[in-house]
Amino acid sequence: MGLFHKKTVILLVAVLTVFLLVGLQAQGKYKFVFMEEFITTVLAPVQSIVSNVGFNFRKVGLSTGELMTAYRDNQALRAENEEIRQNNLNVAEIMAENVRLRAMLDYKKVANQFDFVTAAVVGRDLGTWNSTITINRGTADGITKDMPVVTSQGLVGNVVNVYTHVAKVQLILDARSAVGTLVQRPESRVAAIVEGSSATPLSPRMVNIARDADIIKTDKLITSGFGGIYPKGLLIGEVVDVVNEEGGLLKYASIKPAVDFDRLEEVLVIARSREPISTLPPTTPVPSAAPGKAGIPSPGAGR
Amino acid sequence: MKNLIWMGVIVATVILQSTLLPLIAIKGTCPDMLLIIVVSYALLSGREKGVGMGFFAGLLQDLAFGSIFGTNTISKLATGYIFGLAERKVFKEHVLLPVAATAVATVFNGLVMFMVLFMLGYKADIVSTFMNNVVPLVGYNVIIAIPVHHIVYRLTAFTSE
Repeated sequence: MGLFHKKTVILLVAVLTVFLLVGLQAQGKYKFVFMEEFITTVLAPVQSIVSNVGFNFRKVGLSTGELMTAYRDNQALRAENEEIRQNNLNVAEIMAENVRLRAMLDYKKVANQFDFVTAAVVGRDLGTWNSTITINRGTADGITKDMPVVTSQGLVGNVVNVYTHVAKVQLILDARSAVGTLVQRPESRVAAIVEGSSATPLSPRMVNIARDADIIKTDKLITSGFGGIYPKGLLIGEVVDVVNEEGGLLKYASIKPAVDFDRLEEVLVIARSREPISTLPPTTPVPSAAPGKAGIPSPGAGR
Repeated sequence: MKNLIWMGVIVATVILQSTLLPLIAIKGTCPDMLLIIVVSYALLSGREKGVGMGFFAGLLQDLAFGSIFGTNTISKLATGYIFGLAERKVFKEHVLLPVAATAVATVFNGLVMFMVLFMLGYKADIVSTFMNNVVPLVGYNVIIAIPVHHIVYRLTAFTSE
């Protein structure tokens, strides 16, 4: 009987300790930096190997499946190719025009807007309440907290925890994540916040939009740059549904993310983003002396 | 030695859970293999061991995934305890045991998790969250519960020799 009591006490103490730690953590007073770092760092290499095996298996599976639809895809791609060829001609024309106009205005070549660090996804947690991924880059590769993470398709999320060789990325699907967004359509430009939704794990919501705001299905959403974490202009996704909220004042929009979160293998971390404007030369009217002075005002811009 | 084996099992499952299982996710729901192991182990070994298993499995999951700390720890600990209580009341060889237990455990686990989050002040729409997450999760968990329970059954027999 004495033994039983001892065990009950231990159990109670453990439960209370966890509750206490949970409470402290929720208020942001204490974080398990060391434990989390230790466990994440130890698990990451193993996760990396196992993920690779998994990705390879899926690749085999997918390519086998794709054999079946290869003919139809081929036809569709041929048709698309024709169209793109046409467009390409136009684009070449426009680019040539762009170059001429640029030269006329004496613009510098605009440097690339972002500096990327490529990272592989080694693990992910698909929970009901949280969506995070673990990537194999950390402080040693120049990653810091709050850096935005993207793929070529669009916005993925931002770095929330960073250790020496590992970092954790909170996806925009996570219920705790919030991204300032803008409707891309020129006549709308409605700004609101996109939040992850625990009710629909794969489609976040653009919330708190006024009932009469101009937003429709198929609208594309981009980041607005408000809030400082995400630079402006990253694609988030497409509106698939607009729902009036109960209460009568607001509505929200369900979004299909541009990124395929089920197939996330490699991501790009934006280590540095530059405002495209800042790379332009100062607009002092120097019509005759331009060739000699052009390189002086902004030496770093031509990279 | 026994404890080492089970520690290894938990660590291996956490790794599987974060790497291979998301590959078979359907609409963002992937089976919670750790929960099934906790339930099976608790049913076969009693509440004291069940609590310990739930505690460590949940803790490791919370620390490894950067989820909201404590949600998995508390919900898995509670699940381990409740199913440990049923140890002497069930037929351990019956094939329906893992199926029924996992279905109940998934719902129970979801409810405890929701309670913890509610106490921490996270907002959530419980009805739609439940319909969209927990219900499909029950189906998915039940499918893999049978083989997982079988493995845990063998391993329990092996470690208690």
